[in-house]
Amino acid sequence: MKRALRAAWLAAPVAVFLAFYWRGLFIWFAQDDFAWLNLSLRFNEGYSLWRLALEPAAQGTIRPLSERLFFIGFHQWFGLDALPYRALIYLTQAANLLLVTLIARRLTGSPLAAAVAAIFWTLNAGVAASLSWTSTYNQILCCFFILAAFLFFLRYTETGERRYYAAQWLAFLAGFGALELNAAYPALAGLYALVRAKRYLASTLPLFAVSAVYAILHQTVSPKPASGPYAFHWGWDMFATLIEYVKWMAGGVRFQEIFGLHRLDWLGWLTTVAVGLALAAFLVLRLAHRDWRPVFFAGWFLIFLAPVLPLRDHFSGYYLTLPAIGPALLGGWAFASAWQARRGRRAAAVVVAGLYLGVSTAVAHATLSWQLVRTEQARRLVLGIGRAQALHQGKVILLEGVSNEIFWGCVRDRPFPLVGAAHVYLAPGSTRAIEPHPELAELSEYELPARPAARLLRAGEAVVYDVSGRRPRNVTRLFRASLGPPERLPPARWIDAGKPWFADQIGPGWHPEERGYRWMGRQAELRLGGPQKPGEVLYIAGFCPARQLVQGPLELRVGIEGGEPYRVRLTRPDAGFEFRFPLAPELMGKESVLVSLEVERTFVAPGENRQLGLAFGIFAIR
Amino acid sequence: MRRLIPLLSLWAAGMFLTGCRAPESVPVETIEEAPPAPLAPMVHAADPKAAFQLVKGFYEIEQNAWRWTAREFSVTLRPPARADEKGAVLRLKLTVPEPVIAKLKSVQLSARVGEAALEPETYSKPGEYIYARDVPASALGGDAVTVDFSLDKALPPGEVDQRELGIVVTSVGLELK
Repeated sequence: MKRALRAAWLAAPVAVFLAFYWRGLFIWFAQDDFAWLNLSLRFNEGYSLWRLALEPAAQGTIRPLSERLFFIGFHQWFGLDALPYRALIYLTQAANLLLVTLIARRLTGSPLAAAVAAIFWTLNAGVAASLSWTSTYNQILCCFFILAAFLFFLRYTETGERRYYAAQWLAFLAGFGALELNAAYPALAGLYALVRAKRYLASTLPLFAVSAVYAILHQTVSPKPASGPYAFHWGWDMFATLIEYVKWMAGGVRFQEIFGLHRLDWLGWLTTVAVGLALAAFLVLRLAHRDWRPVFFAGWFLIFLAPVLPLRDHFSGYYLTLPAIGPALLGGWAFASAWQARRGRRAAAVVVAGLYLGVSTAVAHATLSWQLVRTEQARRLVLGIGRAQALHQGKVILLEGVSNEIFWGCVRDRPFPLVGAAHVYLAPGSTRAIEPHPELAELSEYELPARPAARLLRAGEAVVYDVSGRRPRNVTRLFRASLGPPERLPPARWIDAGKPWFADQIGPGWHPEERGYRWMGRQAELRLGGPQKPGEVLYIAGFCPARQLVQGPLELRVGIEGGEPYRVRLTRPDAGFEFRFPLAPELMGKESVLVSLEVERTFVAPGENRQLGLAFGIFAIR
Repeated sequence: MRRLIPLLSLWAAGMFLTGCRAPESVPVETIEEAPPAPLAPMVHAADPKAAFQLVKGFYEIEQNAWRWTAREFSVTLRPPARADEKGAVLRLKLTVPEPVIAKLKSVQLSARVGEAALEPETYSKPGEYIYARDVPASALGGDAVTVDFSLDKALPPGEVDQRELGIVVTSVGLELK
């Protein structure tokens, strides 16, 4: 009977989790999911799995287990069927809840506190954000490794058995494959030892050493971006960010954000205040009894939140997933203590817990529903375009009617190669409905300019789909008629030298386009539509092979409309390059400008007789 | 503690029920165009089958006979056979409505076929007209040409109607010379 009761307490949080979140199993893919899924295509093209798994991403992240191998492996096995991906996330979260329950049981001695803590945690607004998006599996998996490591450490401090210490190390080291935040684990173990098991404090020091080495290595191989949403901002802003996360964690602020116009939005601030006061009162009460466990729970929150506080411009609810365990443990313990106390305190605990759970479930429900709707839109779009490509094989597909939300939630991360549609652009003029975020993506380069679009349509090499409805609608004929003949349209302001449909703006000095790029000889020319606004620059992007740098750095001269050329030196072998050159004010309003390129030397590739300079992709005036 | 278990079960059941709508899923088929109707060299504004050729600036069919235009309007036409050798005549059957003249005094209609600008015509009295202009053969290559019409002025939205109103068009087309 005792065993059955114990199993019931363990199973209760998992049951609540599944009862509430089951709809999330049907969430499809969105945003970064597509970028990770595309790695699977690169794997099929012959890229090394090790490189795909370990090469730092644009934001400087290296998460082989929770992102790269997870998406590559599952895509190889299950394709775009999202259910298995979601099932693994849910399985991991169920394991997390068991671990939280076991840890809480050990720390508080109360099965009620343990079950309530796990329920408080899994219904938290931050956790709901993580569970609603497949790309945030990194948070869920990192929780698993950290919770497992900490449970083993607890067992080690209880029994002194080295096998638990070794198991802790295994879980800790595996955690680095899930999320960088894992490096903060030694602080958690150290704090616990300080508060409850001083004898074991020294055993945590090697953990700190490993985290320090990891941090140095990570910073060396993938320095943090200096600008953009992932740039670090050290300063007083961090405290403002901390306060925002504290408010978010209680659920009330998020409730007000979602239900701001609802007549019950006052519940939001009431919950934030009530939860804050209740936790603070319990903390003070325990400290008055010289019980330092609340310090550990508060420390849990701060230890795992501190690393993301410098990300001032990337406030994300899912960053609360791991930190929220600390307050949930404190809350569960506070509730269980009050439940066993006098009637008044019990009633107060039920009211506060009710407020928190009511508000949090409303928030989590809204988060799930939002993600279900938007990923279903993405699913219809991506699979619909896959179907369109099957009907119109080899043709370029242009999209009309892409909404702001579907662009930033789907199209931006280029999902279409996953369904065999290699060349999909927004139709000319269709970016007007999309809010620009140049720090995230250059909107114009998703839109095929009118001239190449008209040329492709006239040749029957492109189709146009209106994707504003429930199913993609072929509107090629109307769209073609509305564009008119290409000769009457201005030159494109951006071109991809590696695509044949921009060939009419490619001048002398170029070799034929190859798989997505085009080699110049010693000199080459091209034309771009002229600048339309002050401050616009010429942007170029290309690739410098190692062969070109055998004799040292290579000078590239870039002239614009016959002006004095800009000179840049290329030094990184087998690496991409990007440059931006200011445009003279007198070029403003010109229909087109001539861009001329020259390298100081060329090379001949083995088995060829072509003189090769550099390979280029995008040229743009923007 | 025993009292709490039924409470928790009730609450979990409630949550399950609130989230108990199966996610909507639709088949991902596309809606394809009907087999392409050939472009016509002459378009009647009231013919819904030819509506796809009225590519810009035409409003809905009215009285089963005509359409209002905006200040600028365009139509895509198939040049008649051998028009690229002999040239063609552009004919626009139009009405200048009385309220337009009452408000604007006169309107000037211009047209352009590709690079070829056609001579404009000014209308200062209400009534039915045919705007007819020779189009040079050099402007009529290819399977389709877009004719861009523009008026020097139009009734702005809100004065007479919520739309910008130019003239009324009954038909437009190209005839071999």
